[in-house]
Amino acid sequence: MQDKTAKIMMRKMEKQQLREKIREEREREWIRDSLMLRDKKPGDTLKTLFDLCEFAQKLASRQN
Amino acid sequence: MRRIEDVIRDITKILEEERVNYVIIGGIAVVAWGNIRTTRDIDIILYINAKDADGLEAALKKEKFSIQAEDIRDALKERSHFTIFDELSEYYIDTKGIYSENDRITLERRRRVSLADLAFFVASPEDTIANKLLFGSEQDVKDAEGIYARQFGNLDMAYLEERCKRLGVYDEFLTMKKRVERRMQEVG
Repeated sequence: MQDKTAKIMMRKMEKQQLREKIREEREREWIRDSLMLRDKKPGDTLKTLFDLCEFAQKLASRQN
Repeated sequence: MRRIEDVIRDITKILEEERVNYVIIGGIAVVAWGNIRTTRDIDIILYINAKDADGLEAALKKEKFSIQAEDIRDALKERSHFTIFDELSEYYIDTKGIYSENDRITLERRRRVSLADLAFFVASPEDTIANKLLFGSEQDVKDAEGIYARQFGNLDMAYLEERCKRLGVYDEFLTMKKRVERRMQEVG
């Protein structure tokens, strides 16, 4: 019984550790993305947003 | 179908012609200063009086935007938002008046951004960070982090710190700053 409880607790800890690692990696990716944009002007990134929106609109209109 | 840049171009042209001071906040300001993410609406703060509502409704309707002057007046009275719908696309403009000192400062410190033949005013990076920390959702904090990292070294730190203190989010700012700077070191 104790062995089974210990195993369950161990799995929970492993899951928490895994989730924490993933969260940290996502944070690093987000900041890496920010740093890659450091040389860009506001207009450059806004242009990318506008292109993304246009692409999404075209995709949606094809699906409808 | 009106594209999002055309919505921004048309709406800001109308506001300028009607002599209504504005600042674009929210997702558009985030993309100007921080990470790129999608957005479905355009958030604007307007410096507008109830007496100007009829004129603004007429000007907007002429360009195929849908809004009732009554809705503008009600929103200003209740200090709430009103929505301007674009009849030519699915975009909409989430709009509010100047309801606080925070809104007034955000408008006053607006920055002009431009691309190709389009130029308009967005909230400054410092004000966008402070406001995002105030709103406080997971996405808002991520937005603030992205702006802080991308604009690192270019921000008016004294102003940003003071602004966060005024808004009661100084602890959140310090936590975010520490986390972002640690991540920046880790990713080189």
